[in-house]
Amino acid sequence: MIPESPALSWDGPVIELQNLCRNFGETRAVDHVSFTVPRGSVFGYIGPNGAGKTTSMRILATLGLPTSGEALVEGLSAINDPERVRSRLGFMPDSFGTYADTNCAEYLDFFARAQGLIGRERTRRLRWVMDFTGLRGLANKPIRGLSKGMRQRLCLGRALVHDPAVLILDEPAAGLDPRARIDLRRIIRSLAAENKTILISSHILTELSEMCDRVGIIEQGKLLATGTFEEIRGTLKQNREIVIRVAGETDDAMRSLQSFEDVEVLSSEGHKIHFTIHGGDQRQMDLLRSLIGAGIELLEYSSRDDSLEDVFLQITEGRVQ
Amino acid sequence: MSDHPEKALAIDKNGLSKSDQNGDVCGDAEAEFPYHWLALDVERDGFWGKVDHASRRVAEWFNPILVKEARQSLKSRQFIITFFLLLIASCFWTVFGVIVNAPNVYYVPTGDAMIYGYYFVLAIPLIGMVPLAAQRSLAAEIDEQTFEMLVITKLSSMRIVMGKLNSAMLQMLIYFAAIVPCLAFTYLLRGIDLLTITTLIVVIFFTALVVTAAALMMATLTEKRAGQTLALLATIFVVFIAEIWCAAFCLDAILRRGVDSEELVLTGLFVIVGLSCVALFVKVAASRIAPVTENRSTGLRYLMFLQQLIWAGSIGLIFLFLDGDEDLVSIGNLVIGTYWLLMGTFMLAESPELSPRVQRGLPSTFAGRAILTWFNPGPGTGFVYAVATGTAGITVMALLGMTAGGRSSSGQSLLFAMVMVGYLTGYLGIVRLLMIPLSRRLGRAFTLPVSILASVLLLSLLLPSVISVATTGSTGGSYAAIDTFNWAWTISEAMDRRFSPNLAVLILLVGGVIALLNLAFLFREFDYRRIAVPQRVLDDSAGE
Ligand SMILES: Nc1ncnc2c1ncn2[C@@H]1O[C@H](COP(=O)(O)OP(=O)(O)OP(=O)(O)O)[C@@H](O)[C@H]1O
Ligand SMILES: [Mg+2]
Repeated sequence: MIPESPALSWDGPVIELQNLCRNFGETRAVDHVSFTVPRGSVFGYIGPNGAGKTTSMRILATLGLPTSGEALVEGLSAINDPERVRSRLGFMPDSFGTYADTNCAEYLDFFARAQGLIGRERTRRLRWVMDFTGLRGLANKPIRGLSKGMRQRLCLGRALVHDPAVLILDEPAAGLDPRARIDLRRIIRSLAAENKTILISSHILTELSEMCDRVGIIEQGKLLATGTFEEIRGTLKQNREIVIRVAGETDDAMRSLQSFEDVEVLSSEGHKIHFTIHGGDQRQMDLLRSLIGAGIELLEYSSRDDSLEDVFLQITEGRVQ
Repeated sequence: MSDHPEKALAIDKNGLSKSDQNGDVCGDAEAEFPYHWLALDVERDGFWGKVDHASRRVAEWFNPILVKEARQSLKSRQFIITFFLLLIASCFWTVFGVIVNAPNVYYVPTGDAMIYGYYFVLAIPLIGMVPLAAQRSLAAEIDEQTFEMLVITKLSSMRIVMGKLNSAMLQMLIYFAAIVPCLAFTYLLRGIDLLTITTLIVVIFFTALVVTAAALMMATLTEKRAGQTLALLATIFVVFIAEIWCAAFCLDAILRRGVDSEELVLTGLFVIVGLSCVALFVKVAASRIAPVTENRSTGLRYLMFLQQLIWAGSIGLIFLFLDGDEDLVSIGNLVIGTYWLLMGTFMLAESPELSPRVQRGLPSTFAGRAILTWFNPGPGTGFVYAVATGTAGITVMALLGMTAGGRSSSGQSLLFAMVMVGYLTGYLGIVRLLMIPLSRRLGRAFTLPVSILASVLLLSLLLPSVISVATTGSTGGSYAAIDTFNWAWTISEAMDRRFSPNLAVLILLVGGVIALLNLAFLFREFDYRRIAVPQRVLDDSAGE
């Protein structure tokens, strides 16, 4: 590793957006977005198409200017001190071009040079990056001949080549096969374990659920919710789907269920009842307790509460027009 | 962005099977493959190990872009084709020339005849191809999104542009190397001396360098496709002019008339003026791709100042030692006036809002503020800077023409200077006055003040004729006061040494009035104060 730079002594939030706004004409691509990411954590940035993820990440990566607000990396402004921010940042854009007549090793070598790495330092970083991203066997492949997934790896390798403290990855999983996704997750986690701070975007909540410490959900430029998955889910008043299986007849269970106002039975077949309740975890626990208290013999009690897609859809749906 | 996992999977599978001999790309079985040589340290001992070490160490000094482009372009088709065409052309000319001069080659010096052909073999790729390739290379980076990845590295915008320029120079060197044997051959045929050959090469090389720098600048002017196409056309035009100019200078002045002290002085001045242009173009290109919050103006203004000094110095030298014609001074002043009108127009596109980062670097002492304020970015300071520096330069030149031409001075160079100053302040002032309301609605692209300037210049060409047709029913036959609006006519009249002093004063006065009007809108940019550098940035610099 590169010797610890004094920059690492910074103990404030490593990434910080303060009331960031960016308008394109009438479109408010980013609208007063604020959040912070502490060192060593992975922040997932989730939103549907056109939510403003790329726009705000590009501002943070010093490639765009905000209409107002501030974007800070380790306390340094991406707007007024782009050089300082750039040297501690690795950015992987959602689409990027590559050079003709260049192979992977030359590509990485070029960016290592461009990042000011020289001599043994550079060759060591190159070996590390090639091993870490699994590009070693592809070193001689011309870039134009790479598949989408391999290009993603190469781009990640490029972002990592100068061992930046902060990584900004715009949809790194797009176009990856399932196995490569697992690889990516492993890579992200091990980078976080090395105290890197990572901002990663995606449309797909489940994709991020296992690698992110916290997430922010953005739509139409507005940050709708931030927190851990559990926090976000917990704060939601939502309709949760529940399926129970009882030992005997369903009549008793149906009766006691209908005594609750917020329960709506969807179907009942054989020993199974499928219904929804209105509320979060607390409500679900209360319901279970009352069912058991009412002497109903439950064999199974399951909810579809792990459907992150639902959470996502609920948060983003119609909240902002 | 395609989101078809199945498809991606299929592609990946393909890729995997292709690289089967490389095994598992996901990183478990890596140990079986050697690393690419670029990722290995030099471990060889002995003589070759040392050579390896040394050459790698030298390569560390090169601009990374040069290293990359050298690797890339040596594989590129355009380069290989050009190189072989050049080789074939030079061989062809050698054979052809020898056959045509067949018996004479043995007894009569024929080198001077042969070199004409080699001139074209060298000048066409150097001045014609290299700049266009350089512009395309930079424009393609911007167009194909590779550029953004480049600017967020540690490379400064200046190094990026210099890297491109260096790569172009490397190409020139390779082309040049291909033709060295032919030049040696012409020298052996006698009839041409080394000095001539060297001067020729210097002129070709510097012309190519200036055009390449200009081409790089053109590549950064716009990101839009249509704009890029226009910029390419503009460069082709510049290349065309440069080819003609270079051919005229090389073939006529150097080859036909032979190199004497006059040609040497001209070549020297050309090299100096050319270098200052290269510096300016490169700096403009670098400023265009630098972060918007950076101070992209002050450095350029220093360079413009330097360039004026060099220009005035060159003209002065020629005037004093080669050619004491007062017209020369007037032509020099015409160039200065045009230069500042154009540069001033570009500066009008600057934003009057200074970013905090620029404000940090403003002069803080009173003296600094008094002198250096005009170097601060902003349209107002730009206006004053262009007008003041231009006026100073024109005046000094005119005085030079008056005193040195004492024996025969007609005072015309002074009248011409008054006309130039009047036009500079007047036209730049009008563009600025129009720019203030228009920029609020149309933004601050540099194309706006340039189009305003073009329209104003065009209108004032037509205005006198329109007025005289409206009032007298015919376009006035001879030059009258109203025709002072017609700058083209006025300038040619003033050049012809029969200009009325009254009209010159009139032009100067009108220009002055417009300039005064402009000063009314200036106070704001006077008021910028330096702001403190944030503590966090100071801490960070201390840690470096
Ligand atoms: N250069 C631009 N000019 C005009 N509008 C833009 C520009 N870039 C982005 N926008 C608009 O800003 C909004 C946010 O776009 P952005 O690319 O940030 O979304 P995103 O969250 O990254 O979407 P996706 O998931 O599709 O990548 C969109 O409405 C888009 O049309
Ligand atoms: Mg996006």
